Amino acid sequence: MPPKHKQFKKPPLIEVFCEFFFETAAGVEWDSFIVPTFYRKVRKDFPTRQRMSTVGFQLMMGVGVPPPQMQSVGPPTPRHRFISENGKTLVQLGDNLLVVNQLPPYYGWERFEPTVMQCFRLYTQLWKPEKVARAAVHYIDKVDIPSLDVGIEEYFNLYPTLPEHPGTPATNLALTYEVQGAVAGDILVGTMRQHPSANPEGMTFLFQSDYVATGGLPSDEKAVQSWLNKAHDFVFDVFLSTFTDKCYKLWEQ
Amino acid sequence: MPVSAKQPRLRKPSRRSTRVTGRKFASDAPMPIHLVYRLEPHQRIRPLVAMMASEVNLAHSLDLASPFVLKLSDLSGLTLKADFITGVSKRLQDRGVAHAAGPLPIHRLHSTENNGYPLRRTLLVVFNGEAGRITAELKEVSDILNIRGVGWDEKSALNDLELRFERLIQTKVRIPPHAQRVEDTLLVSIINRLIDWNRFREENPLPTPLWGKLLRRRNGQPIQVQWLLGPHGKRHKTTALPATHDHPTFLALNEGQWFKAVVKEYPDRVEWIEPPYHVPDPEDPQERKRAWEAIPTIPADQPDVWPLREE
Repeated sequence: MPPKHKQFKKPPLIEVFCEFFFETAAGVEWDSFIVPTFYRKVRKDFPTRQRMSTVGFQLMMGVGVPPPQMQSVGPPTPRHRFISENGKTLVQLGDNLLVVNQLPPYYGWERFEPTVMQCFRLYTQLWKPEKVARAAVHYIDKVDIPSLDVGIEEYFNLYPTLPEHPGTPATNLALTYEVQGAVAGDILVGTMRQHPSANPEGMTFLFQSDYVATGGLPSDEKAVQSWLNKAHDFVFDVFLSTFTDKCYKLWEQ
Repeated sequence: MPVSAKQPRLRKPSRRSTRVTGRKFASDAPMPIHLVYRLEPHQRIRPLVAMMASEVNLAHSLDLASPFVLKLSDLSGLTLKADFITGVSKRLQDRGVAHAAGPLPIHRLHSTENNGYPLRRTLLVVFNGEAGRITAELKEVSDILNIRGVGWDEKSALNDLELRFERLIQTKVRIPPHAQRVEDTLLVSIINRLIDWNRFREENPLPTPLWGKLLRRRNGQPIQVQWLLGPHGKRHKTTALPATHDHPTFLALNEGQWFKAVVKEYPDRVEWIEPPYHVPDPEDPQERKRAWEAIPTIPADQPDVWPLREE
């Protein structure tokens, strides 16, 4: 297992991001007029701004519900995006939503966490939410195995044991699980999914770790910072134990 | 019941190796299914449900597949209960609602000059941010293809990647064998493995002539045609005119008349380049002679004009 702060030559990370879903006091609506003030304060680090359009789509409900109609359903989505000069770090805002994303290269949690906390601090100062209804840390990794047929346990410690069948390998593996996180009410949702690879002699796997505080958090800065670090450590431990030494070697080649 | 002192100990089951492959086992869905669902059978929930589930086990199948739904729009068009959507929505929220640039599964590379290049397998395009722009790559082979798309957003970056990919096809793959370079062999083989050329040919047919004789026309029955050159490469056969190949101008033809047409034949339809029109009997030697003589001739009697005879 590699040391905790090791930087790989070809890290598998595609994206890491932290999300905060806030709850305002009863009767108080999210004030979109504060967005320009938020931007002014982060402009130095995130000069590029984008406004994102929300989309609705048609879902046909089953028996006993009104006829189909165009509607926007699902979780809240960001409406404003502020991007760092190098295009690698983003801050996104939506109704009661703050997201901070980091694209590769990722220089480690030690450099990402202060950015997340800076944005969180600013958001809570400006919007004064009552609490954090949900918070999440997401890591997405893509692992390319340069081989067309392998015993998956050579590369991963996360895999299903399949029923015995006559010597044929399996394909299109998809696996998802939930475990309790570091704190009661926290869960880690792990997903592994095999995808066809553009390399005819290879395989591709996407791993996503979603660490979620389902019970919410107080909007207190210290509590959130402590939770973030616990969440990250938990996800990182899972990351380290998901892959084998042979897999780590792939990221060093 | 007495317990034996030599009761066998439970053996820990040995861990079997889980062999996994990147090969594709499932055959491609037929073209009409592809046209409707656009995807390989195992990639998303819609085709999974449509092709594998009956009404009885629909809810169960949906529930099993729901952890792998990437976005709610994947469920668009399905009749679902509100509580199922709420459940999926909550799962999606756990998976994150605001990726900066999540990997995008693609099934075809669009083209500026044809109907696009259908892929054998669904591929993942990986996006990344750079100063003032977004990049798109087929990461696993980007070192070999040496291309990546650049744009203001994911869409324009993907468009640029598709343009560059098409340029590779035009300059390295769809060229005469003598013009291909040895150093491009790996690149060409990768592109040929990625693109489903059979489907490409089906989706981008070349204009082909139809030449036939209208034999019989009865009310409510398909027209019988004796083909010299018929649909989908048929030669010297008599068949009923396929419904896809029917055209109003057949009404103007009489029984026993010959016709010619030029079409592009898709698996599910026909595009008329030249609608059917009456032509002389191609089996009549006199008519053939007349047609032959109608072709303009250019005598090769000038110096430096091909064919030159060696002195």
